Amino acid sequence: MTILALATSDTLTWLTNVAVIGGVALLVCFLFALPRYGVLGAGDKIFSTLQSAFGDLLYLSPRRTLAMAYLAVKESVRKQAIVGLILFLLVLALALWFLDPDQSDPSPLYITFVLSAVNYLILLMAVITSAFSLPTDMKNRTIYTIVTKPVRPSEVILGRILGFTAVCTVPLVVMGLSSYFFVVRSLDHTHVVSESDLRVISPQELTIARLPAGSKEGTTSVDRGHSHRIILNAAGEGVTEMGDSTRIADDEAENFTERFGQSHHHKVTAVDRNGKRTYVVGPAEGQFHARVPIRGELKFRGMDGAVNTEGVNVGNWTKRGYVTGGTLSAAIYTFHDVDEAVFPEGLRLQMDIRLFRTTKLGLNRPVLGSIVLKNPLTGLASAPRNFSAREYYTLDHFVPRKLTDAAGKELDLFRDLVHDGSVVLELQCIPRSQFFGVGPEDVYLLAREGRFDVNFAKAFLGIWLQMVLTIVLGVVWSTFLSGPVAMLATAVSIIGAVLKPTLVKIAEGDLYGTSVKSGGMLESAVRVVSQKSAAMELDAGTTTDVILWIDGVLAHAIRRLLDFIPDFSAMSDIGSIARGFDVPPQLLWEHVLQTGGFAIPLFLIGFLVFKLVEVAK
Amino acid sequence: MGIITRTSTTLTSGPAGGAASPDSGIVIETRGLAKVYKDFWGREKVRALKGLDLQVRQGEIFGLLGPNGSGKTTTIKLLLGLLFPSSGQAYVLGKAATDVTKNERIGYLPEESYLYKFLNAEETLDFYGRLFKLPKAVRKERIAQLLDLVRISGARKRQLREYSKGMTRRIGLAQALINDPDLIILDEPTTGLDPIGCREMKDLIIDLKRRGKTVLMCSHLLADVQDVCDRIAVLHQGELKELGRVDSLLKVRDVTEIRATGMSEECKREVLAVIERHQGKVQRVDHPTTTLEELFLEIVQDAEARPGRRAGEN
Repeated sequence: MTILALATSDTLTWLTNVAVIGGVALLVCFLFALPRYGVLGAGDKIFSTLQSAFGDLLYLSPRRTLAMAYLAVKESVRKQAIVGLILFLLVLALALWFLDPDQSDPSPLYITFVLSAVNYLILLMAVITSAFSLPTDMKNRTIYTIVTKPVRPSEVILGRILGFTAVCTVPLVVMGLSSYFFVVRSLDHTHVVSESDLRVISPQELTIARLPAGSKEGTTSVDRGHSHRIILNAAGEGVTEMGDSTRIADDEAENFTERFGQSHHHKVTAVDRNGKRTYVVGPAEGQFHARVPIRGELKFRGMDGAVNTEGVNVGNWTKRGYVTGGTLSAAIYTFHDVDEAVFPEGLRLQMDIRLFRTTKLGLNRPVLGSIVLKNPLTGLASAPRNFSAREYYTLDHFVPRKLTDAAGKELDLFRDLVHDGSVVLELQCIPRSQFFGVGPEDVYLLAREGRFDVNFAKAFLGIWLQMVLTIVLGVVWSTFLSGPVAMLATAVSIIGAVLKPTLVKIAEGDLYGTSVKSGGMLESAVRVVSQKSAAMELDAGTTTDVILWIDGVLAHAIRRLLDFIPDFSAMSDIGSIARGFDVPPQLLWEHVLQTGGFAIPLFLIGFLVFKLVEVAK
Repeated sequence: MGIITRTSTTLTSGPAGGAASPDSGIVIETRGLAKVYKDFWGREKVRALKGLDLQVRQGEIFGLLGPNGSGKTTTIKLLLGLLFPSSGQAYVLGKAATDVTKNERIGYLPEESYLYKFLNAEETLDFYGRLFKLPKAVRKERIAQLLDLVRISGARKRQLREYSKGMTRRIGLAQALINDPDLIILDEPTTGLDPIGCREMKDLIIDLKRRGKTVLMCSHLLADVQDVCDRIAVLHQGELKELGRVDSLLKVRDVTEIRATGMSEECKREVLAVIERHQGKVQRVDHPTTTLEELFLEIVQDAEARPGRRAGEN
């Protein structure tokens, strides 16, 4: 389905939902008005209210709305906004204290921590700011002086939303900038290399490693809990190694750094002064990524050669499927949009493979695998290319443009293997008794490296949109609830939004992700009392049928209710940003649409409720 | 509030002189206006207003009188659209009371000045001016005028949380006048004001009438109402008990009062004799007492004219 078709179908669904809710709301209003005004009177009342509501929306004045927003800003600034920032600075201080920059690849941890802290703090701030304002105005009766001016209810609500958005955006920007510098500065480091740390590489080794004459090899000083192996040319220039192949194979190596090397590198230059050479090690580079991947569709070929959508299940409940080693079994990725202009030299393939070992020995040893590239139309295939897979390590594998087939005949990647932008990649595990675990996102072509700072800013767009929705929810609840109750209602809505995927699973009885259903409320209560695990069948009978039926109705109601709660986890890109993946613009656009999809009906509800509420009650 | 002007104390004349023209337009009209307060379950709690029929004409000062709980404030809230009527209709400036566009020409001073305490006087007036979409230059000019009028120019930068009750009333009045309204609704306008402030407020109300504005005020301070209102409505337990011109309502038809200065004892005797000759009955011959308000204002004015003088000194 094209993006346009998808957008159209989603918009239609959205419009249908809004229309259905609107229709139900009108019916409820009519039924309430019926005993008081009669059929015609109730209809007339609803019509005149809608007409006036439409006028309120149509003649909404930006100037008055901005005046209301200005009031909200003044109120928040003079009351409490600074508290949020102080809290955030405290959190950063705690982070400095407890996070360990010495571990291997600390950037995901740092990024996740600061972004999550910002996310939760700003949502907390949005809840507190938005939920109390209107009820306080009602309680203090300051609202009297507002609604007796030519201010429309729509302007009161929208002004509040805009004002609080502005109020919370300022600390969010400050938090964003400070958290970016916090992450970058905390993880920045350098090393020291002196002449005594280096040894001249023997001519034989030079020949084997195809290194230029005069090259030296050595190790940097240990800083931040690690050192780097370096090979410098005769001019004293080079780049520290990220993955050390000799150490990767070392079974005795205890920690990740020793086995797999570092996730970053440093540039090394030499300065010759008075006949003496000193080396300058640059800042850490490549710690932060914003990889732009091209992901493919994943299918699996079983041991019998049949193609399935699922791989072997090795017993853990993950989305990954496993490929059995030493058999026909393979993971088959079909990549689209493989453009020659993007990959002029060849494909840069990155793989994050999980291993499942059935042998006890060599836990740290890499497992051999192979890849084959195939033309999706002709089936023409390259010769297998071997690689060593290691757990918890992103393998960077370059597939050159010039390849050969199994018979040794030369192939051109784009001329022979890519058809209409599509190419198939088959991934196999070579040793028997070992398994490769892969999911749809684990193997991808790296189109380019985006800018980390821009990607970091994208995380804040997601957080900002969640903040806006929280404010809208807070303002809407506060149109008819008292301050503390409105805050509680907003907080519950937000918790629901954050936990939506889990709640959906609970409603669908799919909490375990397996064929064993997690059961509903009554069923669970019965299981607790009768001490029966979820895997055991309940006793057949009418009671069980009734329980299951009630649970079914409740689950269905909860599932439908959940449709009206936004999904904050889907709007948060913190995970992929921390893992070093670029957030594509389409995804950001989806977040914006989702926010609008919820914010617009919520605003309308808030406006109508405020219009119908007696301010002086 | 400018210079204090003393109104005539002649008993029989109205306070401001000049009645509203009978041909003038109707500014406020209620027809069978009723309000019933209900509890959460929709059960009737209290009938605050019972079928009120009222007309307020353009250019008059109209007073709503009544004891606490008589329905005065409920009437005002219904007229402003702060409450919705249970039955009946309310029209203000020719529009339904629930129509927000009517507010363009209304100024409202609530019972207590419900203002944002975190704003200062200038910001308060600027904010309310923005709600009327007044251009910046007009707002600036009007804010300066109003702050002078209510005499709080010196405290314009202070947040309202630091204001005394009287100052809060004054800034409340200023916000009610920011849009130069045609109809001013004042709920207990003199509450919280000292005698000078009370007098200034009353003078201002009369001045508004002179400028062609219509004023609707409610108060339980009868002297205030008597001093300024052309017409009054007396409410009791939500019902209209009396409606009419203040002067005619207060006039005691069968008693005649003569006020004169420089009468000798002989002259008094002659006057009494004439009354008796014509079968009149003299009820009382006395020197009139002034009101405490009058006395207070005289003392303050004198103190300002002659600073340092103490009680008992000439």
